[in-house]
Amino acid sequence: MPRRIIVKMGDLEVSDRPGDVLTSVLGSCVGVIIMDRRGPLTGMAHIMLPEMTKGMPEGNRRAKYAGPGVLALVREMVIRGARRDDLYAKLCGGARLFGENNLQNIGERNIAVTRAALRKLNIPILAEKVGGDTGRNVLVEVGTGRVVVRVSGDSEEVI
Amino acid sequence: MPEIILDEEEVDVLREIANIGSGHAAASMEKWLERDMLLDVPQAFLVPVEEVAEHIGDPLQTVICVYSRVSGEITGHLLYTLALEDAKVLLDILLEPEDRKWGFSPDNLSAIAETGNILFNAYLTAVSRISGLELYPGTPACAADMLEAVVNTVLLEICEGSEHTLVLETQFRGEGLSSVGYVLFLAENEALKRLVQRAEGE
Repeated sequence: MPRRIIVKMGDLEVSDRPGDVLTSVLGSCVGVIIMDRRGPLTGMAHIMLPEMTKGMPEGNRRAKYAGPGVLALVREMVIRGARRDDLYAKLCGGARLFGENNLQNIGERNIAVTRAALRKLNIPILAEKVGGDTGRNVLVEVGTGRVVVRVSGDSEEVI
Repeated sequence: MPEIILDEEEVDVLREIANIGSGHAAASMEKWLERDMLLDVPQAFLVPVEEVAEHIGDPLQTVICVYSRVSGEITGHLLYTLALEDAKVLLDILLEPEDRKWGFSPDNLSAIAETGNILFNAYLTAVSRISGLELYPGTPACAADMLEAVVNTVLLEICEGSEHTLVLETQFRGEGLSSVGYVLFLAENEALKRLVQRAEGE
């Protein structure tokens, strides 16, 4: 039976079972999806914040902060048998929902720090749907490499 | 920095504060909508940050949401959320039929933002009065989006120092109507502790 695996805010999930779907709802959070060119192994991390500023450790949330979150996901993929050179990424999220004058632009900083962390590990970003002012429901299909991105009011894109 | 945790007694005090704030907000809503309001007892739940949205409702449901930052002696966040069908009910009351187009038109969103503004002002006035803390609402901003996206985006502002968040939630109902929305008050645990201390006279 294919599973629908919810990737909670601050957490990460990995699957190598074709048919499984990894899913999250993203506002200013960033979803980092990492795939393996050689097989179905697919993972997603649901990043909350660009970096630690108050010295509060991530606790059980391995993907709370962008840098450690990307690293933890890549480590998990390697433990599950992937080679780092075969990995590529897709990015979603990092929106700004309430316009210019309100909350800090955490989304934009999440995207920037996540990109930098992937660059440092030489993992290319092959597709992305980031920024803007709408939340996204992301569905990652294990095995096909397809990422379905839905916004409120049922429009849908595949990246 | 260790996590600051709220105990049961503090949660009770905060629920009572939310109750007073909501009562005041309901009174201003009665004037604004020109009809009687029914107020549910506020819910106070302490949950891991990543589970807040699912405690409030269906995470994928589209909601209209008004947000305002609370500043002053403590920082917090107020949200007024409405399901789409409840937003229609509210707009039927607020707007003349000829101005009443459906969709997220600027007129519709600004009528809902104004409703949020009235609720937030009344809520904070009451909270300020019982705590002696000076608190001001910011300019309200409005979004129509998935509940989880909206709630989590606001939670990012307070989650760094808190693994668990106290959610103070009040549902408003109009006489003869279903829900006319929820008001949520969110703040870092440190700020909430301060609010309790001041309300109890330190």
